[in-house]
This record gives sequence, structure tokens and C-alpha cells, in this order.
Amino acid sequence: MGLEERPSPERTNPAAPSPSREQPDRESREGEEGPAWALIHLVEEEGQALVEHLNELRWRLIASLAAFLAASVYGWTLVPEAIGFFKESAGRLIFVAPAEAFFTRIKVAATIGLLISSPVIVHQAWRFVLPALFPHEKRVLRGFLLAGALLFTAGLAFGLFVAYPVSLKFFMSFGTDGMRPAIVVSRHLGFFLGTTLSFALAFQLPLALLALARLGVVDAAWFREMRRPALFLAFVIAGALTPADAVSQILMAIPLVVLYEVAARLAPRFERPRPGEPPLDAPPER
Amino acid sequence: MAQGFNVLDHLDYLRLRVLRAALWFVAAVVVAYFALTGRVMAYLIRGEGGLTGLVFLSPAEAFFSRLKLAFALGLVLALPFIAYQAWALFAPGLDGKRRRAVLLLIPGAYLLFVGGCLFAFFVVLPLALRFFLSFGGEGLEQEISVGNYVDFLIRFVLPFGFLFELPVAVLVLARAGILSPRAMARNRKYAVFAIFVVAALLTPPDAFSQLMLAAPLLVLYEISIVLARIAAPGTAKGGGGTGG
Repeated sequence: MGLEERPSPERTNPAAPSPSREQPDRESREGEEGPAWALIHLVEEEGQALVEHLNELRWRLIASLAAFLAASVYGWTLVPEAIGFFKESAGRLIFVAPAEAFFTRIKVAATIGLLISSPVIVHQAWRFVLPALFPHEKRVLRGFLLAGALLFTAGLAFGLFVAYPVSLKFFMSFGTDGMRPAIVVSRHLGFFLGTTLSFALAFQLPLALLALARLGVVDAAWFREMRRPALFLAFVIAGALTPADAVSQILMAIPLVVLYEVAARLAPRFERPRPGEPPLDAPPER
Repeated sequence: MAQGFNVLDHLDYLRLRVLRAALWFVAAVVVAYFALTGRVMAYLIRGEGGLTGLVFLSPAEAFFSRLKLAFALGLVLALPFIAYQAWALFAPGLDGKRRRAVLLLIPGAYLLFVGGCLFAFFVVLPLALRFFLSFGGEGLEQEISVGNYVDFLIRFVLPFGFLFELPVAVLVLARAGILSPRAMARNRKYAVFAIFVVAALLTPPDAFSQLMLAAPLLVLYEISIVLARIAAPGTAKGGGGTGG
């Protein structure tokens, strides 16, 4: 339960309930036993903390939303440049439904807004869960978050500078003199997001593998054993995440395989907890 | 049944009325296809909406979207005849006074429906098109396909027609004593909210067409309150403004 108080010296968040609060008497009263009553007692005892948590959650959601909206408004000013970029890479760009131009622009602005405001949103989520974490959990999670952000950026850059132009060029080369491109803007946006964002997500693979290693689900031997199936799986995942063609599938599979190898190299360092540090699923120290 | 009118006779009568309504509808669709679809589709091209032309993106698109438009127009044209068949179906169950009252309601309701559609088509639609098409440009060329255009047209215009029936619904409910003009005035804020929700559900998902549908509805709501005051039972013959 996230409501449970955990003693932690590093609690710095002012919005979190104070750690010195006295634990009320937990002994059950007459005739009030069983799981349902246990929950009721918990809510009675922790009610104040629950309200504080909900209040904090509310403000963190509002802050995230405000950041997203502000960033989207800024994103709206960048939309002409995005359209210009699309036109440059696609040739002729058209819209085929009355409201399509409007909604495509909104989508572009919202996507830019989400990208720009994502650090704020992640930070808000981080601050919200912070009081529930032990110091060593905090350290691990911070590492994972930073690595995740880094890999996301790397994946996005790979998609933007390699996968998107290469697959677009491949597809556009099928046009002929009698078959000229007039690309529908909403579909072009879908193609663009499909080739860039899917790489940003796929680049999170080593993190998932290392998290599994850390939890003891997999170890270095498993990584060696699973190399061939992983190679196969990388191509399957790449095929599922990219437009249905071999070029972007191979393009996507290559970094996946590389990332798998990186995870395999790093796994021995992650699989056992370092001395003096309990594993992630250890019970809290008393 | 008391007069020897058994279940089978009723079913027979129902069949007759449904068949006639369907025939009216088909006839109206045919008339609409040949007489109206071309004009309706061409009306806004190079008009004040800023639409420069239409294209079709698949071989059968032009034909099927024209057919779709004919069905929508046919529904509008045939509505009074379909309403008459429905009235004729239920008329034997009504007493003489009510029978006449319901029959008299049909022209008024139809006028409101057509009025709503015409208002949408001639006033709101050009504005909405101008608004949406203005987001083209800067390398984004306008090539509206006829299928998308007809869908937009139908999804835009028909809700106006149906929602303009509000005064009729209010009139009937007030006459039946279910709705009092006082309650309508008291619950105005909920009505405003409901109107905006309904307008959002029925129009394409943007604030602009929502507003364009909600504004006339708010006016109609106020008119309905006045109508309800006239129609409320007990107030029709100088009962004062105490109805409800």
C-alpha cells in the first residue's frame, strides 16, 4: 500500500505527511475484524495522510497540465516550421477533409507541447512518489529515469535523422512521372510519428532488461542463451513497430540488437546487489 | 378489437403505413438525386466559404458520396410525408381534438426542421468552412475530397434541423403538464449546460461549430419558455402567469 508510512531520514518533501506523527493504536476493537475492517481502520488512521496525498496529487496534476498547455501554445508557434519541414521532405502536401488542416496543426502543437513539457511531468510524478521510497530505491529509480530520458532522446534522434529520412526516401522513390506525390498531411504526420516515436520507445529495451536482471529474473547466462531468440524477436518487434517494409524494419532491428548487447554486457553489474545494499524487493529495515 | 378490428388487421394497417412511408422516402431520394445533389454540392465551391474545388480519391467515391447526399436530402424532403404516415398510424387511438392538434403540429415542426437545416447550410456552414480552410496555406494545399466534404456537410447540417425541434418538444411536454414554464426558467443554467453538451456531441469536435449550434439553441430555449407559458394547461384561457 502506498499509504503506509515508511521511516526515512531523507524525506524532504514538505507536502508529505510528517514522519514524527504518532502511530495510533492499531489493535482491533471488539467484533471489528477481517480484511474489510482492517481497511476501514487503515483509512481512519491514515485518513489525514490520504487527504494530503490526494491534495498533493491534485496540485501535481494541475501543474503538469499547465506545463503541457503552456508548452502546446508555444508549440503552436512552431507549427508552420513543422509543416514546412514535412513539405520539404514529402514534396506536395495536401489536406483532403475540411477540418483536417486544423486538427493536424492542433496535433502537431500538442505533440511538441508534450515533448517540451515531459521533463516537468516526469519531475512532478517523481516528486509525488519520492516520500514512499527508500534511499537506495530512490538512487536506483533516479538512475533509471535519467538513463530512460537519455535513451528516449537517443531513440528520437535516431528516428529523426536516420529512420524517418531513409524510409521516406525509400517509399518516395516508387513514384514515377505518371504517379506524382500529393501526400495527405494527417497521414504524413502519422508516418512521421510512427517512425520517430517508435524508436524512442524501442530504445528503452536495455532498461527493461536491466530491471529484470536487477530483480533476479534474468542473469548473464540467460543473456548468452537467449541471444538467438532475441535476434529473432528484435526483427519481429521492429516489424510490428515500423511501417510494413524491410528497410525500416532492418533499420529498427539494428539498434535493438546493439541495445540488447549493451544490456548483456551490463547485466553482470546489475544482477546482484552491491555489498551493503539490500535488493529492490527487500523488506524495510527496522 | 372491440369493433371487430383484430391483431391481424392492425398489422396489415402497420404494413400499409410503413410501406407508404418507405415509398415516399424512395421517391424523395430519387428527386433529390437528380434535382438537388449537383446544386448542393456546387453551392459552396468558389463561394464565400473559400472552397476552391473538390476531388475524388478513389474511383467510386464521387458516385457513392452523391448517393449519400441524395439519401440525406431525401430524408429531409420526405419527412413531412413520413410524419403524416406515422400520424395516420396512431390517429385511430386518439380522440378527435388531439388528432387534429397533432396533425396541425406537423407543418410547424417541419418548418422548424427545414429552417434549422437552411440556417446551418446558408449561414453557419460558410463560416465554418472559412474557419477550417484558413488553416491551409504555408505549403498545405487544399484538395478536399468529395466523400469527406459530403460527410462534413451531413454531420454539420442535420443536427441543426433536429435540434431546432426543441420548441415543438417543449410545446408538447408543456401541454401535457410535464414541463412548466417556471421550472424551465428556474433550471435555465442546467439547460444551458445540457445544450452545450448536446451541441458538442452532435457537431464535429471543435469549439467553433459547437458554439454555432449552441447559440441558436439558447435563443430557441427562451422562445420555448414563452411558448410553454402559452400552452401550459390552465393558462390558455386567461389563467394568469401562475402555471405550474
